[in-house]
Amino acid sequence: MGKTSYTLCIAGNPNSGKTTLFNALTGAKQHVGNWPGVTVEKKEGKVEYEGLTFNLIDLPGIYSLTAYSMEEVVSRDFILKERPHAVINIVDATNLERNLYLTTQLLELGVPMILVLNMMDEAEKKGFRIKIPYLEKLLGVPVIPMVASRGEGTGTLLRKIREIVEGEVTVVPRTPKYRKEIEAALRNIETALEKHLSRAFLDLYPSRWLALKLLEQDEEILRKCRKEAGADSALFSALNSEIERITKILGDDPETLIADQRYGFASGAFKEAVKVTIQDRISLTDQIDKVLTSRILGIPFFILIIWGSFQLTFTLGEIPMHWIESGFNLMGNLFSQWITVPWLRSLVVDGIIGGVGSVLVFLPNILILFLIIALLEDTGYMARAAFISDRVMHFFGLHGKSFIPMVIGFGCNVPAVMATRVLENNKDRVITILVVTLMSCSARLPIYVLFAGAFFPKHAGNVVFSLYLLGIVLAIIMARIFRIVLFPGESAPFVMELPPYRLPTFKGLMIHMWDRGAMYVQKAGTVILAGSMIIWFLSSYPAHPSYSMNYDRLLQQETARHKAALAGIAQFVKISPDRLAAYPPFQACEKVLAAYRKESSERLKKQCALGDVAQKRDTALHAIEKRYPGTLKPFRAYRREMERHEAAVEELLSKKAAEKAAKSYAGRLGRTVAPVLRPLGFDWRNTIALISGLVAKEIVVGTMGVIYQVGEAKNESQKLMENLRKHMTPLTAYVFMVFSLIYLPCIATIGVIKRELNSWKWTIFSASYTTVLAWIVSFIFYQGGRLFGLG
Amino acid sequence: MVGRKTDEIPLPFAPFGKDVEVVHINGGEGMRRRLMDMAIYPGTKVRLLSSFGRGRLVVQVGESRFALGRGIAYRIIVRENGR
Repeated sequence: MGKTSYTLCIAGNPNSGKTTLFNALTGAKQHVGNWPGVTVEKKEGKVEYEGLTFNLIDLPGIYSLTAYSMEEVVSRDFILKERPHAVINIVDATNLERNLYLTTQLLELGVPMILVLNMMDEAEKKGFRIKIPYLEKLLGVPVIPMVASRGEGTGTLLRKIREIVEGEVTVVPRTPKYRKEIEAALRNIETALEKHLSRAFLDLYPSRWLALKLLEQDEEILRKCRKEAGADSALFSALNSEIERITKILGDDPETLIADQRYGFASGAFKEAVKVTIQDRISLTDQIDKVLTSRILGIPFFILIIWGSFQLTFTLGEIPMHWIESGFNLMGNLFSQWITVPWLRSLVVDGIIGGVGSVLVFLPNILILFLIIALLEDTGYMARAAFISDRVMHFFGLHGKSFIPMVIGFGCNVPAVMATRVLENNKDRVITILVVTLMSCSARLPIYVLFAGAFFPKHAGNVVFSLYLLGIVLAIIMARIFRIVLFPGESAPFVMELPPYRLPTFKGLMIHMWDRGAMYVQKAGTVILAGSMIIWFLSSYPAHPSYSMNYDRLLQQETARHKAALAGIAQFVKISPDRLAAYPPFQACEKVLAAYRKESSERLKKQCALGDVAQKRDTALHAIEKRYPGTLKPFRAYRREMERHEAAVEELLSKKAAEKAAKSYAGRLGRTVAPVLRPLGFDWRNTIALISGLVAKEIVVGTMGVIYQVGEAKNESQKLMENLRKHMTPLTAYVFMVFSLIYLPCIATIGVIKRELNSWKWTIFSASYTTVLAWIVSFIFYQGGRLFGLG
Repeated sequence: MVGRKTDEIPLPFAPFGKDVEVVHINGGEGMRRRLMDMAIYPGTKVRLLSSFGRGRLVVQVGESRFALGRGIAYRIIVRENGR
């Protein structure tokens, strides 16, 4: 047998059900990627049919085949360069006339084509009676009626595809004939093409199509021809004289005339092949739009939807997030018991398990968010939401559809960056991704809580709010700057289709959600994992730095001292030292003390006096003393000794941990970088904490704890706050929060930015501009604050 | 803009819910092309459905409806038909 694998593509207008058809044909066997060099999404899938393999490519949704947008260029290039065995042109049967405009342009490409009339059920309800055989004759291509959302007609479509690719049926597309002046011009240009362009070049394109595009002044094709023939070739003077002639005779430029005739062809085909039996019915879409885009209810409903999306994403997502977190903690504990080699344990538990955990922990948020986005897009509400918010967002230099990513950014920047997929325009996407990281995500909140709590306990709420506000203001300023500096020129005019409201299919929603989840884990996950591992390595190596003190010996000494002290007490009560903890009178005393601690902490919570609780304790202790005379005195000595020992060990261990952190590679890096951050009032400790925050910003708090030598004590945050107050002023604390807000988003965000923008250049730009911005803003705050005598 | 007939008005001034004919588009190449892809070009009929605040307009073109920015809408010159 010859080759059994064929390439096919699906082309069609946005909202014509392209993706639904793609899903209906391929099921879950699909792969989402990007077209090379651009952010336009490329979907590929495989269909097995009667021993043949169809490689199916879902082209982006387009209205036309001009070179006006990235999507159109990508689609056109694919059809011309890859020469698919067949093009499946899907059209919305309820909106046939406009959809046929693209069809005429596809016909002109001269490739084997199948026309799929989707949503036939709705078209019938609307009163369209489409004469299929007649339409086939008019266009010269097979026409297949379908209801893609229910999979109706897929069998017929696949059979037809097989017939075409196996050569059983030949398709000769019929193309529009233009006015005789234009036809004459086309013939002249074709002759000129033969004369001035190489054979190899001409073989790439159908010559009539090439002539048409030149007459339409298609920039992309003009550029290619100039490159091939030379800009001063006689081809262009011939072309220009044809254009002038047509403009003079027909009173309009060829481009408009050609488009007009294409519409004429489409509308002629529609009128001949379709009989409309019912006219002017108020549609459901009209009625829904009257409410959802009305002046009074439009905005409240929009806010409700956005608020609901945010709540669902993060509140509902928190539950499985906890499962994942505790699952990985459990796994970490198990492995740390199994693995006895310290360096291997650290690698597996902190490096690998920690790293994988940091990737998967975002998955619930991403899945829920994309389910919601798919729901909003497939029902048709997304376009309305963009319509409602566009005016405000446009003022900020953003698009209406940027609103959702920006809001999601307050929860987590990772899904927010992924949510920018709703934006079709490349510029809008780049700008939104660049500024969305300024939205203060929930991982930054622990930093604010710690510092605001330590330095501004009375105004903590206001301080935290000011940081959120600062993020928003900076995002607005930066978006406007980027719009002007990075993408100068007129912004694209706001024209957007408001598709009819439709019920989404369950399958479509699931596939969409699954795609995003898989893409996140595969593509972003690798970058995140690698990044986390690097940071883990930097902060835990060298494993045995040369300490300033011999901590191990000091610990041994302390333990020896402790043992001797306990032995003294044991001798006093006349039992052996190792039975001291189980000595019944001591145990009774411990019980009383435990009860006292529990009660008093409850009292403190209720802010009541402790007098009677203390009295109760003393009475109970005296009762024990009466029962076992001579207990209280040695017990007090015992208690004192135990506490002293615990404190000493903890101090040594936390000193050791702090020194290890300071002497790790990250610590050395922190010390090296520290001079750069000194004008902001930061010392090397702050710098190390900020570096560790690259993994996830909430880690800054943990690192602060290690560096400020706070052990695992119960009152950790209290002690940390005390230590912070010793080393920082309220001004440096606020500046530290400001810097934490703005600087380099976490590794996970960097990972998805790389994935989404498909470019290291933009990824590095994003990482560096935020850090520079953080420095500048912090500098202004710090030096400004000092000027006003703060700090 | 010079010598425009009095019954030719920018789209935002057109009456709601009534078919009007596009007579002219005052815009650059890019804008004209983009509108043409949406089937908005001289000779086509459009219907103004609603406007949202002072911002966007919703326009019916054939079976499709589009949201248009007010800036771009002002450049679409339409004519109410005699009937």
